Amino acid sequence: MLNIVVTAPMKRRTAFQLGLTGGALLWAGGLTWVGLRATKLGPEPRRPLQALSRSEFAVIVALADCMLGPQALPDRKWPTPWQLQCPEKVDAVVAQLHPEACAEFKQLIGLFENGLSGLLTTLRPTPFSQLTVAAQQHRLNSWRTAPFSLMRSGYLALTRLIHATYYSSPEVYAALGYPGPPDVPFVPNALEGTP
Amino acid sequence: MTGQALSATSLSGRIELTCDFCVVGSGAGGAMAAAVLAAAGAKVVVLEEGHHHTRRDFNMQEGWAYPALYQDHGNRTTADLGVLLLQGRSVGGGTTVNWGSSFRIPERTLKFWQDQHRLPIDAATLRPHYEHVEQRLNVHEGRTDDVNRNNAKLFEGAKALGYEPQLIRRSVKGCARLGYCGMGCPLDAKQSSRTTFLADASASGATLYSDCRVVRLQMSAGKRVDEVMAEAIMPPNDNTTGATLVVKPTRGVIVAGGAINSPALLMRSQLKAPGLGTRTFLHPTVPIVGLFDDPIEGYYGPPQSVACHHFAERGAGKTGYFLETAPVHPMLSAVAFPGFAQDHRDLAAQLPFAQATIALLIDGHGKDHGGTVSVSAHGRSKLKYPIAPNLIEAGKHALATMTRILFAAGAKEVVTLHREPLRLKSVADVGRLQQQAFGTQLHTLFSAHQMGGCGMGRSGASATDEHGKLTGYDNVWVMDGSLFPSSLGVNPQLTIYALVRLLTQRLATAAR
Repeated sequence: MLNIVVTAPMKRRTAFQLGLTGGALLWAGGLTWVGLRATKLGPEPRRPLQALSRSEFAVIVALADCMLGPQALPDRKWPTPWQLQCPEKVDAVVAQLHPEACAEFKQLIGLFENGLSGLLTTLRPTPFSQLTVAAQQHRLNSWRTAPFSLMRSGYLALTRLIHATYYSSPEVYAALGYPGPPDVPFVPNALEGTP
Repeated sequence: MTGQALSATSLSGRIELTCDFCVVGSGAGGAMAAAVLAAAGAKVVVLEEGHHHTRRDFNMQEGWAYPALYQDHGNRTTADLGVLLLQGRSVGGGTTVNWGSSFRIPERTLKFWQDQHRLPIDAATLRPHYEHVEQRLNVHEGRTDDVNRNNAKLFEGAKALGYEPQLIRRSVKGCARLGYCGMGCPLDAKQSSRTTFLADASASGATLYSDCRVVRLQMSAGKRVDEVMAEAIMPPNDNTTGATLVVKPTRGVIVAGGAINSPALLMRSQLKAPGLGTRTFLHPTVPIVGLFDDPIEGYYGPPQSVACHHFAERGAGKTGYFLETAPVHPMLSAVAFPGFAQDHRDLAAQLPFAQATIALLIDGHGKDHGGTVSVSAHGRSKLKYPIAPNLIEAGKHALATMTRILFAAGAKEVVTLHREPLRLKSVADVGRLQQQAFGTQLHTLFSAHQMGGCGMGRSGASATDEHGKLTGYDNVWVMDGSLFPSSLGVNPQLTIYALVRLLTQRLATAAR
């Protein structure tokens, strides 16, 4: 579960230090998160959410699918992120974060979903969750190569978290060719005096 | 008299304790300090933010281990997310999750500390402390049967090119070579501080509270800390239980939360010292992947058994680096691999055939000044770490070296972890590496060695003096890797233990 802390770059004040456009983008994202077109909600979470809102959960579902879902990667031997409950696992990880980091991560999801940020990055004012998978991948890629450190950090936070929850799932081991952890042998010398 | 090991979650209300020394942190530094001071007859209380896991908890699953055993539940990074920080957080701290690699401080680093930071510590002074630690941790010479295929490729390639690889000494006893040191050893074969010096401290009467987050050090008038204010937190989400622990140390406070956490605690407590939080070093770690025809299975076997220090000294103005390997487990690899969708999957699907060599850049010995720790209004630590030009040069040089080594070892392809990965088909492609932009957010970077931030020095311009005492305060000492005035140039656990043993023995003697 590596690397989803969205630290100071996600703060508005810091964003302005990174450049006027980056700061304006974040302001716009914050202000218009619910002001433009609505998030496509998608499937219901299978357990109560701990940190994410229903809309934020939907963005994570869409993001995981565009990175690892059957439309992005049609090879059927790999389980889908939905099958592995990756979105719920993301919610659980976010719930463990420092409250400040949790708030910033939620803000990041809002910005990523926001149609205005899409307009600025890919010239499409459509919320991420409403795009086709191909368009979602284009949007995500635009964050990967964005001129602003703020957006590149956001890309790293989102993709690393999705990859971490997916590839730490034992159900994916077979497709990877990874046999999983070995049985633990009994090695008496190793256990002297340990609890 | 055996001390108790308690979870702070068992407490309720406000608890006050009095002791001689309060030790904050239970990793290499904290455990050693507690062991030395308790053995000297002091009443010691150790406070550890993480949970007290034992070998029965260590299930070798990344999905459990990283949230449970690492700082920020496995999510610690530099401020721009450019460097992933693997830093332990449980009883035993970093020693619970390190890979057991054991080195003494290189002569060149010790000389650098003596010359540049006026530290009056020499090899002869440290030697008996290293010997004691090595005996207790069962550090032994490297063995060829410890070398898995992941490490063998580094050895073979480096040897073929005349780069003098060496076998790594490891701190294990009865190792079954499972390969999961980084997730806690399910056999306790790895000699962590939990199973050694913390156990020694307990045997001498020290009391341990786990699940106990130190909020701040409370000062009275003057330059003394009178109270250590802590709160009980409930795993796995760290919610406070409402219980508070107030420890009143009569002799002093030992801050041993590790680099980043130690300076952050001092800053949260409004303690001020010259250079506090600055010169934080990471051994920024540059990974590369070699793909082989035969399975490497880099997830099994001792994670690190081979090192190459041929490029540790590269001449005036050049930053050195050393080479080791990293285990190739699914999640750690997937997080390191760049890209998403098909590009990412193409690499992940070759996991059994992937070899991971890493170059650790020796930061803080040249023109770079490391990173700076700060604390937010809500008390959260943050590390800004710029990749200086000398580190960029060293990183590019290291990528070329590692590429040559992997092809010399028989790799069919070498894949870089640049933002735009290069797939190199032969050693003739090495020149392409120089053209590729390198730096934070442009290439995957890790750190498993966090150092500095409370750097030692004799001049009074340093956060701590040659005794580890916080400059300007009467009863606060720092005893962990944050004391290092630069990066070490080797894996740090042994030197943290040895240095802290030296300093706390002096402290125990002086405090009598």
